[in-house]
Amino acid sequence: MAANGLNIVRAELQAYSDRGLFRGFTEKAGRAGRYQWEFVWLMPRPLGLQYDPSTATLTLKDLLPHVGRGSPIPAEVEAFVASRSATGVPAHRRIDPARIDVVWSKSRGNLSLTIRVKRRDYKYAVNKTFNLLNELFVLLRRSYSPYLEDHFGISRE
Amino acid sequence: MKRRHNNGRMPASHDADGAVSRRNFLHDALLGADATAAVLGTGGVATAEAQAERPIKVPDEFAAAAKTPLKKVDFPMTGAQVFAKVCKEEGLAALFTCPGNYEVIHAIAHEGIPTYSGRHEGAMAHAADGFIRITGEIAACSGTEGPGFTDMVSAIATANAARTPLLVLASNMAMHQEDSDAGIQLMYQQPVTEGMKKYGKRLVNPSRIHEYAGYAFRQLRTGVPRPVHLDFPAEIHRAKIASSADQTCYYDKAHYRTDTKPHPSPVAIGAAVELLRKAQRPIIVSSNGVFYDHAWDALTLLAEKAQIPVVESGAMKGQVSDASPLSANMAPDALPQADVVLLVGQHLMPTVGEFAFGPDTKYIRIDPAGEDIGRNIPIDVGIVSGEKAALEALVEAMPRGTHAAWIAEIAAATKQFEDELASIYKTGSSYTDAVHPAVIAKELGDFLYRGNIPKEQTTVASGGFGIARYTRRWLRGYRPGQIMNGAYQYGNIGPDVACAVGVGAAVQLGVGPQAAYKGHPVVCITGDAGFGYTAMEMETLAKYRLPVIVYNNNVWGTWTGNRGDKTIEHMHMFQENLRYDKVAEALGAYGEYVAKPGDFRPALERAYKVAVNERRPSVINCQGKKEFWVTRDFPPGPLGKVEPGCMSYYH
Repeated sequence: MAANGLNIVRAELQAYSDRGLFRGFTEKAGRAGRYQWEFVWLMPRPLGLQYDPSTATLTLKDLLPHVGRGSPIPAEVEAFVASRSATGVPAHRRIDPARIDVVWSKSRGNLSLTIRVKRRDYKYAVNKTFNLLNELFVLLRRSYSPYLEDHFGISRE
Repeated sequence: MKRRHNNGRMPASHDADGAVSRRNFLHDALLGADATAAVLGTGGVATAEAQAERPIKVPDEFAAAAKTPLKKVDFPMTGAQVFAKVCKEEGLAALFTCPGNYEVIHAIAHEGIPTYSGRHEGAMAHAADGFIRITGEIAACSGTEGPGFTDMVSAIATANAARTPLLVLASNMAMHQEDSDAGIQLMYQQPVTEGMKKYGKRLVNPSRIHEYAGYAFRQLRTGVPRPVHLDFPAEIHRAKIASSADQTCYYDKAHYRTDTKPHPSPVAIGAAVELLRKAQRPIIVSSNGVFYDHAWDALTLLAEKAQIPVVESGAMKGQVSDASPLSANMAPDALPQADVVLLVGQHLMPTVGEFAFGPDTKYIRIDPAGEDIGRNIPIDVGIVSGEKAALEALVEAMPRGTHAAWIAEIAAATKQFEDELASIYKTGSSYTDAVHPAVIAKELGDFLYRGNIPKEQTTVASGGFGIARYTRRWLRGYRPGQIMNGAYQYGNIGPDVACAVGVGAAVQLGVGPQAAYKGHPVVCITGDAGFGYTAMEMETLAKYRLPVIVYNNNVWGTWTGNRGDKTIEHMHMFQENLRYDKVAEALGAYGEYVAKPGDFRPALERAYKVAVNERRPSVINCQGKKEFWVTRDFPPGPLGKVEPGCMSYYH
């Protein structure tokens, strides 16, 4: 079961990489049976995705760093994700809570994003994760460009 | 009373030990006043009467130039005249220059090509770039050998980045002076433009002047455009050409080049149609190539037949009307949902992630340069073709489509964006001790598009840096070439006023898509940097009676990210409350200083009246404050951008 999940996640990520979406795509075995991939995609700063077969979760640890007290970003991204789960949202945009849970967690001023996979729907989970990531960074580019300049290496110009 | 500056010597009011006595101070102060009076020659203060006796005047020669009949130029000709004749036959639409490279620029003027002379060669090259970007016609810039040429380098780089077909002309050291240090202004100029041109040549053989003119226009008028740079040593521009027999390859453009363009492969069109037909949420990205290939009608036909929304990128905007329900220029939230993207004329390709489209999006790309298709973003279908031919083929091949749900999604995203703009304006207008950029952006938009002026009428040179992050969101394009996207690709903030010379000239002359708006006032948006670099061109605008309203956001944008470090902070600051409007008045333009938000719209209306009634340019100097860029204290602070669409300027 776990191997099946890993195969699907790995294949989906490899497909994105083969298509030219990622740069510097690498996989490495993590601790305690977890798997880790690293790649450059939307930002100059590399993204790290971790898969934990024991909990059926995909995690982007410290996805949004330095969003400590007073930053409006945590509330905004939580609201954004919540809005995508509402009934009435078109299927291609909607995050189906019957298939995945999307959870933010904060530690030491950094926001991590965890996707809990339900019903072993890993293909859907990977697809939604990456589409969600894209939308999140579109939101950040539009409304929080100084934050991206400071922490993601985006040009100030 | 001011003390006379002593250039380091001890003032007379000081004794030998440096102490100042009151008597000596007053004595010296009076001397200083007299010295100042001597410099001014007015007895102490320049009086209003003295100034009124010497009003700013446009010399009669400007009007005379337009009325002077042209003499037919024929063999025997100089080399410069041979070249100018080719320019005339090729329809060179304008020349922007400073004095220098005399034989060439005079010969071009004598052919009746509209010629504008400004204050700085670089500014004039930016003017030519701005002119081309909103007309699609070829314009030239010129500078004298050495410093006049190097003054143009930044502008050439800017035009190259924007993929503008700019013809760069410069005189160059005489061949007999090479490697000798004889005279002045000696340098090899062609290597300087390496990497920022499509083609370049230092002409060395007088018998090939006509031939190389043909080379230049072949490069300018085909493929993906970029600058072409020609140098004219004295032996070339002064060469005596007795007859056409003295020229190699002396035949006209019908024989030295072709106007035909690449046409798409039916197989590729079929593949594109298949992909678009199956798409649920297709979108067309229209960029530079649509404009230069005059493909906007074919673009609209395709969009309407197949019901595919269109979003813009590029150096000029308006190829799809923002009044159309198919315009996705103000729908950034919808862009990630597109499943198939048709890129047309996207000569500057973004890398993955720079456009907002999602990870599963498929791409079709139409471009005349086959060697560029597949670069940066992986494509699913590539079509090597002129943009117009490919779009016309798609119009023919595509079945009628309907994407009602997707178009509704675009409309919802547009509404969301407009609601966001309204919220930004509400916040910005709550600050009353200075003029917030949101106030300028929104009220300028109201004036241009929702007031008494037809919304298609006003061409805008969109410049600035921080201010542009606001104004771009409110600017709209309702017809091709309505917006010149100033900072496009190279991020050159300084040229704004200079670009306005070219944009103003293009509209004054009614060139290309500007024909229907001939003579109407033009608006230029700039900031402190833009004004600082090319403000002297207000004089150029004034003397040529180009009715351009320059709006300047009087606050420096780079201070925000560098404040707090006291060692470097000064490098990002100007003096405050500078009066750029007074600078404009001193150069023959009209000036307004606006320090309160409620005063902006009336100032704009007055400046517009001046433009219409007096044909004079204006500067509306809007006093902002640097703290507006500090989000924590004055939200919303600097705004971000999403590309493609109204906010785009990277690609």
